[in-house]
Amino acid sequence: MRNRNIYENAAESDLRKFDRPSKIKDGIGLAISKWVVRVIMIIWSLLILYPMFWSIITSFKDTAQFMSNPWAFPKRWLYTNYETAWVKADFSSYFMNSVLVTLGALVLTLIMVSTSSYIIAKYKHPVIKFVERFYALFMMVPQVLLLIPLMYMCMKYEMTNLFTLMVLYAIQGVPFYCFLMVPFVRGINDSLLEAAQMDGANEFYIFARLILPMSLPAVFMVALLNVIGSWNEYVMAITLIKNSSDFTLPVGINNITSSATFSYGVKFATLIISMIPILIIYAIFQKPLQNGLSSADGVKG
Amino acid sequence: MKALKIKNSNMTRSRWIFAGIFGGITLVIYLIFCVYPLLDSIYMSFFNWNGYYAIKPDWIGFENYKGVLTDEIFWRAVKNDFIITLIKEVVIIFLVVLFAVTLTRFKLNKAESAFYKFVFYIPNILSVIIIGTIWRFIFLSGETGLMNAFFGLFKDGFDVDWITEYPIPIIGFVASWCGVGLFMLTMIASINQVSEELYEAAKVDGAGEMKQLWYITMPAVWLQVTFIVVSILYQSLGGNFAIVNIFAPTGGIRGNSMVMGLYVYLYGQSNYATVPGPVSFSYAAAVIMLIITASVSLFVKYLMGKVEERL
Repeated sequence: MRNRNIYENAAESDLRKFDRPSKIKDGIGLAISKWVVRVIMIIWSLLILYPMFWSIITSFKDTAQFMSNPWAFPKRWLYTNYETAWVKADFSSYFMNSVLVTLGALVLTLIMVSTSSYIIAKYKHPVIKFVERFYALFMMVPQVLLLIPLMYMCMKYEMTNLFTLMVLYAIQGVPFYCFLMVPFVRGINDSLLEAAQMDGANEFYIFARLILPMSLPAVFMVALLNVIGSWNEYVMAITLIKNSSDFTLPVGINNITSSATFSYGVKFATLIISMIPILIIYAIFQKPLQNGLSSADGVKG
Repeated sequence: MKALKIKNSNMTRSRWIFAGIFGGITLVIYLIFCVYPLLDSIYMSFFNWNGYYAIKPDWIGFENYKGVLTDEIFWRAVKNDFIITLIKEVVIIFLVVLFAVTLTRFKLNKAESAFYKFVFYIPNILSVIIIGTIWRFIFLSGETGLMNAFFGLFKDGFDVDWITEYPIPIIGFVASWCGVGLFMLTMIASINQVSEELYEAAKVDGAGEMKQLWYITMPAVWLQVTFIVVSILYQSLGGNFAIVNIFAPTGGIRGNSMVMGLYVYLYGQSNYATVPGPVSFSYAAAVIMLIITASVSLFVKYLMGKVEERL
């Protein structure tokens, strides 16, 4: 007992001797670099927060106030900007369109992605292997290449409407979301499925009662990413939707920022209106979203 | 039937039905909306088509490709794409490594690091149109632009038309602004994967914090950097178009803010009638863009793999 203590003490003092000079140097270097990075991080946070804060205060100004000093706080807070944006600029209907498309795309995505992931993860057959490879390959095609041919295809069959947009938002993400979800479903123990099969459960039952509940975190993450993606999607919507009764929020914003009828305050109010729902979702689900994303990309890297 | 039986398959009748209904329908929708248009556009790129179905297009072989490859504006677009990508790579990777290492290894206050994580990801959840519109107002010419107003504090009557004069650096900056959050999260995850025991062992061996950072954290960081470099490259070459489309819808003066995606888009909308079949011309540009994007990404991936082997 005594011997061991001597050993340990000796080892420790040895270490201390060896460590001390470098530790002091490290301490100062570390403290300095910590503060340098902290300053950079604060500046970066301001670069993100200030433009948003500025849009909020600008949304309460009228054009004259905006022109005279873009930095200042509004002298008179013009709440009517929001009313104008919501009613006169028709953002209430754009908002409803966005909600409709997002929810529709969400339902379609969940059905398609969860079933496809189960099939790719657990079914073994060359055809299914081939489909998996095929999705992986086409996932790499840049979206902009599809825009123009899609536009002409939809014009030819008169499909330039919200329903097409909904289907597109759902189907375009399928390969990527499957790629996120498949590893998760693969992790479910095979013996469970075999046991269920032995008991004579059919695949629909196994999927609904076993796979779906067990892969709920992955499903949830796919749902979050899909909602954020569809709510924000701009390029596809602006290309396909020409009829103003079918505008989604991003198309509406594009439309109003180039029009001369509305003041700057109203334009900024539309930005805030379309930002708020997604910010609320982000604030609530921040943790699962960040964890999910980083674990997913850990697989990728 | 026996010849059709495949080894190692675990398919049953019930599984075939399930796969046929759900997987099959998904695949068919995917083929219709994502594969057919692409193949059709590749086929049509050999024709002379202006977007009207009433007019029968003529087969013109590689004329469109020749036209794109000899167009000065297209090469300017390629150059701009690569400059934007380079800006993004440098800015994003520098900030991501800095932030991720700080947030994981420098033992910040918990609330403080949660705040940074929350804020840095915000640009990733905003629509590109919102980001584009806000930054366009910030860089607006005249005294109402926020940038000009800021510099006006130091020098009276400061007026720079930022977007017309320096489109590419500004787009590069705004694109980097959007990209940091996501990659910071993946970087944090990959640093956290390093077992804490390694650090303990290093401490016992007398390695200081800086040494630990250099010899334990950095190899993990490097692995993730490879992934980030390739992702940014791929995203940026294919996706710069959205933000440019908001800043400069027509590609600026003589294409000074043109990028490949916008070039494809503008010809595709028949906004440019300078060639006889603008739509098929745009398809040819799209094919060239796909080839450039894919080959550069693969090449960089290969290169990064080589570097990794040597480390």
